[in-house]
Amino acid sequence: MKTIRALGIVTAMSLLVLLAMACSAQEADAPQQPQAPAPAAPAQAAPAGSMMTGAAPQAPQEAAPAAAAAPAITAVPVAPAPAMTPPTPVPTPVPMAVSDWVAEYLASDGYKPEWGQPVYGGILRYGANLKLNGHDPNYGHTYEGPQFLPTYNSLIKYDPWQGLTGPILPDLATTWELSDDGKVVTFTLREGIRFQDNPHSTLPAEVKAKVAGDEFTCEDAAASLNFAIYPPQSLKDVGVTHAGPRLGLGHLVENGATCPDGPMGYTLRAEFRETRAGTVNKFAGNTGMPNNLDKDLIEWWAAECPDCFDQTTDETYLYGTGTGAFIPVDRVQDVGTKIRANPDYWREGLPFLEGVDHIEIEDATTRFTALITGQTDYYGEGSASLLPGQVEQVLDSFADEIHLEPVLHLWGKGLQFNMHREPFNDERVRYAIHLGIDRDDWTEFNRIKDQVGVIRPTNWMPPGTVWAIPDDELWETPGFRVGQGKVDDIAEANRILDEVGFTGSPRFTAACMTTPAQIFIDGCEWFKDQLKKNLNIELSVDVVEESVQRERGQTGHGEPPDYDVHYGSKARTDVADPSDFYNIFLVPEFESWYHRGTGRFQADPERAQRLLDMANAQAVELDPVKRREIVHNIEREVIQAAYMVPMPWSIIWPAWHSDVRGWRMFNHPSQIKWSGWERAWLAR
Amino acid sequence: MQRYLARRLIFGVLTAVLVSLLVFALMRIAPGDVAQSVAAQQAGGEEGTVSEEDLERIRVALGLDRPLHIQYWTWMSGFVTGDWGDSLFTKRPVFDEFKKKIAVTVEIVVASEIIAIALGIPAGVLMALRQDSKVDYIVRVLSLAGLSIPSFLSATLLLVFGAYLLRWSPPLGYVPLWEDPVINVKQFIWPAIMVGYISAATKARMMRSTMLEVLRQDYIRTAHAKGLREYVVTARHALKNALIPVVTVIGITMALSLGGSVVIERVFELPGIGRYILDGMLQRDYPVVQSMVLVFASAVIVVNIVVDLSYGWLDPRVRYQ
Repeated sequence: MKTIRALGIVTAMSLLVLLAMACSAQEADAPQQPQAPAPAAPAQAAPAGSMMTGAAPQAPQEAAPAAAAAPAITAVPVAPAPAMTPPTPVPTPVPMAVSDWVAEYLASDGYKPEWGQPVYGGILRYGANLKLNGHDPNYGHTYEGPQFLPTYNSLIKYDPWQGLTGPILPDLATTWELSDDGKVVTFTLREGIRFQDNPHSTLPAEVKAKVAGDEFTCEDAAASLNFAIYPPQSLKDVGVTHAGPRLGLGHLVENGATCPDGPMGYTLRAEFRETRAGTVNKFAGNTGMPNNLDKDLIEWWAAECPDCFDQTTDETYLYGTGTGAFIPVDRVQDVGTKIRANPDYWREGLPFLEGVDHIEIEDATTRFTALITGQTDYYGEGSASLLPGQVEQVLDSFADEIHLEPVLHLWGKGLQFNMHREPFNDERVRYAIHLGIDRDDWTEFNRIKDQVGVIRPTNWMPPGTVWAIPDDELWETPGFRVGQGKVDDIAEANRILDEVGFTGSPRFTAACMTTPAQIFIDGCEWFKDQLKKNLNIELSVDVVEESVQRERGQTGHGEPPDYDVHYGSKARTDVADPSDFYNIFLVPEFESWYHRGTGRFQADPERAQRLLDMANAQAVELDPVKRREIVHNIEREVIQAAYMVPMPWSIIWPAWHSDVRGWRMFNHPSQIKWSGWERAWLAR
Repeated sequence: MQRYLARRLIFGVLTAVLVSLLVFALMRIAPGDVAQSVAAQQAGGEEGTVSEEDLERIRVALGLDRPLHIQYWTWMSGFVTGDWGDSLFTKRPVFDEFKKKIAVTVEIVVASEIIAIALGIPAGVLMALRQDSKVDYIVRVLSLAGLSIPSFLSATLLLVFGAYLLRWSPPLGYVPLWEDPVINVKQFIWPAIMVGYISAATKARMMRSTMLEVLRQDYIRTAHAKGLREYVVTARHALKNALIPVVTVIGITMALSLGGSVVIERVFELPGIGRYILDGMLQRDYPVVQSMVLVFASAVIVVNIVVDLSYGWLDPRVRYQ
């Protein structure tokens, strides 16, 4: 019996020790959060620049309708003030001294009264879903962006509190002007701006001596723009192409950014090869919109360290130097990064936050539990937003503590046909599939409690914008109809398939390739169900890894893609400009890998050429009314062409703690949102 | 003994070479073009196209254009000299990364084995001594649960229930043991428990069955008849002999714990070898996966040799020939 007791005691002791250790771990939930002293209230001072929105440019006016009415999204109630005790020590809020910048922002249309007054101090903890592998400010990096883009300023930007529906604001430029022929943009630069003097910088001493505290002048702006669009050969040799900026502003003349008032002047002239309607918008919201660096830093980067900003290490992360509200202060590989407020930021009174810690949490469940237990304040972005099940849990159990802000995704999804393969080389078959699916069923499939998960009706252009075919017309268009209209569509689809000769059972079989993410598997599974149910077509689901998908889809080298149909993200937009979509769909020069080589020119060369001509025509049409007409004609024609079946636009669910204020999310959020960190605060 | 050890080492090296050939071949047979993935990474994930020239340039830069046997020889000859190549994606030397990350994985494996031994062996002995009692049934159910629930599921359940019921989740981040032992233990205790639970269950069930067998031996009956105290009979006479098969299991479970670390490190966001190899596999990062698999295989080989050698200490009748 003594032995049994002894063994019992040993086992119990082991359990107790584990329990004690576990409990102590529980008590010390997130102790690593650095205790940040409350910053001193900033001195009241007039801002260095004015808040004027610049000389009324032609392109922004034209672009306004591009981001017009937002679609009707069932609103998630804004959560009241947090009930939860913050899990970590937080600095005592300091009464703010209202500067002119802050007063301007608080008086602007984007300010929400329920936010209350800004509070200084605090570290916002961001649950980052990806490792930081590159911090080149010329890339989009929708997920990685918050870790380094707040270090920089652009020349102009969309208002981060109003998104694409708001005005374009000055940033490092105070005014801008588009020439009559639309080929030259002239910026007047803000004076008195200096580059950050970051004590944590690991730049070589001789480089840092030239950069830190140097004044921002035209030579820096010109070098930054030329560098963004035309990276030097040394960068190309290591694979750095700056694809993002090139997509939007690739029509810049080589070395087309010049300084008519001399390199130390404050006038920047940007000359373009051709007129494009979205040029100014792209300065304000392009993927990898030109962010401004010091000319000396750029020259050193190109000459001495061409892959330093694209292969991030703990050391190279601290090379980042701009004029922005935050400076990089630390990175630990596989753990995270830290940015802190720039004490000399030129917008006096900003930022409100003392800093942002980005904690790498790749696993979605871990990231979610960190959010709801208060270890992080912010959950992911874009495709890494809350999963539908997590949204439901927040609505059920954490609605008071977690704020959801549903917005339209940057990406539109759809089913792509490989038109090199039978029967998808036959336009009638593709069109029959477009007719034969019930998009209302997809809407229901994506509903989360009383929240809609997708927006109907959607063709290629994002719903709710003036570029989209008006809803009234689209609801009546075959394929998009509901009720009896949908019954008729399905009957017509079956008639077409009979006519083509697919009369067997099943009519034919095909495989739907996609990647392992649940949102994509759901798409293929749904099509499988719809095609079987409505058209008696057998579709199998072929889930492959990302690298395999690229191998099978990325061709354009004379070989057709190796799939039947492919479900995935098909279109993305920065500023909801039609060229964002048509370039990667229809224009060979810019085509994205998943549209390239899918055989539309082989299937119907006349139609493909006609669509290409229209895509190019709308890109250079400065009259918004005429441009919209061209866009609507393209939209109508691609329905007939049925190169792909676009699905109702998805809603994503960014989430943050209710005590994060001064932060908003808008439809199609790209990296432009990260300039908004400087206006966010923690109401703790 | 020395001849035995030499023979085992030779077989161990041969096994490692076979594993290296296997993983080298599998990485290249598996579908997925690493050059495409590298190109996508270099384009910052943007939507640009990649020309065949770009892909060829990447293949040349990565050495993927060379004949397979040259690639293999370059890797293997480098491996034994500590030059494990550079990651195709981060460009950082794999060996340097390994040195940074190995401490995390070793700590998980060692901590989980300590937990498993501290829980599993006493629990197994207890079940054997109280065969078919309530204690036996309860511990058996618990150990069966440990065997049935994979560590990634138990870890996820821990996160979910902790968050919902207690508003608690394990601390994030990583602090090395030598920098702050207290915080380090708080970060590692949960993953170690999750991995250790499975390992403890295996040991407990093995311990129970071997202990039951030993307790029925004549010499145990004789020891009781001599009037020895039960503690002495159990601890000195029965336990040592019953431990031999369990020691074998320890070798196997350590190997399993290494494998378990792949998922556990991701769930608990610990920057160890497990996460490194998982990321490498998803990206087709040949040097990373090849080298890490070979390291895992070598570790398993070494552990098993050590286990075999420990038989002689546990049972003097064992002779190495």
